[in-house]
Amino acid sequence: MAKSKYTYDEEDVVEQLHHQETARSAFAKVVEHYTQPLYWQIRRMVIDHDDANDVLQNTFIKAWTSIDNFRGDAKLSTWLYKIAINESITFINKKKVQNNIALTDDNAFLVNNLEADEYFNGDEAQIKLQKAIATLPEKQRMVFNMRYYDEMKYEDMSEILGTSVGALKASYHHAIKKIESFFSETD
Amino acid sequence: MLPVSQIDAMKQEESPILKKLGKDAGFEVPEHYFADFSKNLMDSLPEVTITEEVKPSRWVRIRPYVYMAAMFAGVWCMMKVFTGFGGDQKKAIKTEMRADSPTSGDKAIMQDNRRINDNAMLNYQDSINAGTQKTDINR
Repeated sequence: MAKSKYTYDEEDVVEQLHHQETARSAFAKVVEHYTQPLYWQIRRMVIDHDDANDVLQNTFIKAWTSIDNFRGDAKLSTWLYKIAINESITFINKKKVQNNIALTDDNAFLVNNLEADEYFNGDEAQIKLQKAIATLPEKQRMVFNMRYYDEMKYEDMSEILGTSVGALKASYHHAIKKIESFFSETD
Repeated sequence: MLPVSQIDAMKQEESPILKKLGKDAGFEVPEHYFADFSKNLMDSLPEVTITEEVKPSRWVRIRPYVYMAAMFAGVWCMMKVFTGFGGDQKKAIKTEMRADSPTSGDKAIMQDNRRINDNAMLNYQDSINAGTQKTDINR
């Protein structure tokens, strides 16, 4: 991996974001620091790489254009994750409307073409897991992805999703049970 | 509240199926995607105007407290002024009450006042008589 030309100190970066002359360079640091974690979070939601790329761009553009509203009360990462999740949900809903799919929790259409995806090299079991995850309700899907793939702390998830830690733990537990039953039903 | 069995189950978060699958979802990205993404994005960002937060001076920060203190001081002063005035009045009344017995002139005035008050209790004929006679009406 190429060595970053930036040193990242969140407190400094947030301070620099509030000054006209330093905001742009500070935002470049933010983009470099958060591109990968946000991309993977979005990618697991929208599945397709090109769609994830669009949503990631929209996320950063939205963050940049509303940077004046970010006063540092919450963590920068929390704020960015919130924008990314909202953008992902908006994108999925738009896609559902385009494909005449009801705005329910059924996201199976997202994984229909997974096998043909140029940027997916998973085997049968991984495709099956993605299909199982796609059957989960929106919030459970997010909780599962954040916890299982990103190993995010429940406390951080709680701040991002605005749900109590207890509810998130229960949600993750239910998600695992549903995935297990999906596997046992399709075996 | 969740049942204990469910909490115990949540403690053993990992499922055997998930353990077997591992954490690689199988997703890939084009080569140099992340490096190119950052560069392309920064080039395409629009200009924004940042409203810089102006740090308030010490006077601006303490001003509300100073105003409040001044207001309380004002109220206290007003109370002091009014209480002082009331005290003088009471003292004056007490002084009057402690004065010697009324003079003969004062007595005449007091008698006249009593007569006027008594006239209000007379009937029509009595009031005519009272007006024409110089006799004592307090029969």
